[in-house]
Amino acid sequence: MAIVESPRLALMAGKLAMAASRRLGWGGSTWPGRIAAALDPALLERFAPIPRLGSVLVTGTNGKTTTTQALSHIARLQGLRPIHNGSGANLSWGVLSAFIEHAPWTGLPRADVAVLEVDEANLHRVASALRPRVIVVTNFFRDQLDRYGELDTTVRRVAEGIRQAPRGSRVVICADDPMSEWLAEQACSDGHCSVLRFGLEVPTPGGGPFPGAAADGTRCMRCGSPYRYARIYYAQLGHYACPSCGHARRAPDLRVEALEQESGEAVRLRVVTPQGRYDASLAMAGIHNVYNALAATGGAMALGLRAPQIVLALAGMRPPFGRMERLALAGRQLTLILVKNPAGFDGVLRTVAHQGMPGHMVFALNDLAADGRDVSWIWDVRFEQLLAPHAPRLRLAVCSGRRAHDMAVRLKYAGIPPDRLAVQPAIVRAMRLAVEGVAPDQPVPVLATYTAMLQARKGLVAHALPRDSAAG
Amino acid sequence: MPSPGTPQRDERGRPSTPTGRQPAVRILSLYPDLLDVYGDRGNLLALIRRAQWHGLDVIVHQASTGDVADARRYDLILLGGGQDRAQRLVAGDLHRAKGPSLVDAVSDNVALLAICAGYQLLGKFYRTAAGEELPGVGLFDAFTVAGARRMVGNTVVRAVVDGRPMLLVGFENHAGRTMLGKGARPLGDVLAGWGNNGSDRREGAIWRNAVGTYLHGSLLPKNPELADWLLQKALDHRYRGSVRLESLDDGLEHRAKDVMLRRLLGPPALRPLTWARRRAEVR
Repeated sequence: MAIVESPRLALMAGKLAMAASRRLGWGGSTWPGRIAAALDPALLERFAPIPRLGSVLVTGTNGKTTTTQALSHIARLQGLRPIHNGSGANLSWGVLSAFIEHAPWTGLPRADVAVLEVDEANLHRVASALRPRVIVVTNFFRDQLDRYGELDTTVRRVAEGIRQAPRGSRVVICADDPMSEWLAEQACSDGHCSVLRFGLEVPTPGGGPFPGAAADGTRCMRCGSPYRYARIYYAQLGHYACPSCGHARRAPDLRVEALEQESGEAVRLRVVTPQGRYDASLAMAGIHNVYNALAATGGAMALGLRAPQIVLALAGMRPPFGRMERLALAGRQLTLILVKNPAGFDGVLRTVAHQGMPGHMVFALNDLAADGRDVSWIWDVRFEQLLAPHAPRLRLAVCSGRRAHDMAVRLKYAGIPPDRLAVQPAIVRAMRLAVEGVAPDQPVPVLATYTAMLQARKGLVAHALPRDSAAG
Repeated sequence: MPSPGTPQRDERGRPSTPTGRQPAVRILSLYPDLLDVYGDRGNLLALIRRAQWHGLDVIVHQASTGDVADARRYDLILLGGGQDRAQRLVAGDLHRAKGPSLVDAVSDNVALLAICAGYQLLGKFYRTAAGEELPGVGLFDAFTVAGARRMVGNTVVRAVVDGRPMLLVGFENHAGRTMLGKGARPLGDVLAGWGNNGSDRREGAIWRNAVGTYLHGSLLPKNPELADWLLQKALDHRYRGSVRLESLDDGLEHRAKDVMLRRLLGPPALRPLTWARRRAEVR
């Protein structure tokens, strides 16, 4: 029951809550939405017509934050004002908070477009309120099973969310992901929505499923037989086909046909769109970021933006919080990298191994609700690739976080000799230990789960402040 | 039961067989492509690594639906966890093809470890949330019925395996409630967590050298005593007690386990109190 039926009052209360929680240092990404929704449960619905061009919701297991940020960046470069939940608060209260944040002290928020990251389990609620024009689904990897149960359930929930979007809306999916294609079949085959697919068409070795792929995606979604892959890029993403029932990858509308690693973290790619072929550069390393860039491009095209401008904007994409962020400690550099599930972790390890590294690394594993309370997923990460012949030599792995010992056991069983393992549950001490004896120009990778990442960042900022003020 | 026979070592202290060759264990990993969630491959990895550290030769074969595999030719069999869709495919294949040889193998003292969905399918049947009944192998006198609420969390089990007490830690995540019949023995008592069904404070089942349990985490790397018991039973199956394992340096593994024991049971000195309280709760 709404206590107050006025959206303006609820909005004002949300604004006040936002100012208060910012002042208190709480960040203010969930509470304002929560308070405003308590006063007016239909507030998000009332906001639906505000973005002139409509809303784009981004969901899926990996890459939501990067994709949403890229989309918002593309929109801004075209002179549009986006509403964007940049802090990664992606439950329905967080989405509401993003609108509240964009509202002036008096009056309603004004924007051209809303670009919102939405958690898979909350999609149906947000979609039924905002009636989005476009839903982008990045992929389905195994993620925090203890929170949502099983991956099939996640796909079903997203399908229910898509059914809440108005008829004729557009759904952007990854053509290389069998789980996403299955989702499109469930949600769109009756013409409820039109599907725009993106995918890679660059050469890689083919063969059977990638070792380490989540088993959930390597069996045919229709008949249960193992897929055959002509090409495989990342976890279960690739050119798949079922030999027994014929369920196979559909040709993408948007594809990358050439991919070239440049120096450092930059990648050059040729993107083929229905409007033409374009060369683009991307300042973020790793094949997972190529997929994120494609997902953002697809979302922007589905919204009706022009391909040449979209592709041009990709060069300005930057990794969001916790994705390859550089910070300093004791005159040395650290690169903070968020890891949250096996597919993402594998991608990061592959990137780190290809870029070269100083030989010291930090692995910080927490098991709070936001990290996933079950840490067994680390056994599905292929740490063994750190010992591959081409990989730079790993001289010291510092394990940290609430489950530092579990991490160390995992690395021991990966074959890393115990004399190169250190256990230090306190994250700042762990980082201090890891930067010892490393050249100042060589950043030490810190691979951390969500709350470990927050602790690491907070610790580094607290450490940096006194020294900076002394210097100033 | 300790096996008879004289343990043998070669000149470098590694175990050797009566013929002087490096002993080997043959492991069959069943349905690794279907039953593979929650770090199931960690259990296989732990067995392979520990076997290597013990100086054993390891042979691993994998078999999935439609593959021909005779379980009786192996010393140790592994089954993992899986989602409903995968479980249905496995249940069909076990029923049609591999089930009987699995029962024969365990009757012949082959070691076996089954986690979660694999454990459920070794009972008499599994009734899904939709009411569909998947046939089980009947290795354990048990059946499982899907419940409304998932039982999720860290777990500590006090087990007695072959007369040897062990504290096992793991993580469980299941909607199925498993009820043991008169002919089944539980793996142990639940000190923290849910266990088989969340009501009788029992966890898992053990019959001969076959262990079924809801604990993943992964289970074996953090419970090396159970891993080595399985390996020893596998060796006993092949060499009839003439090859004995020695202990390894498991300091890191035990520290990892201890972090969780302290979190869930408190410091060692206070644990008898915690246990007494838990026993009172059951009554």
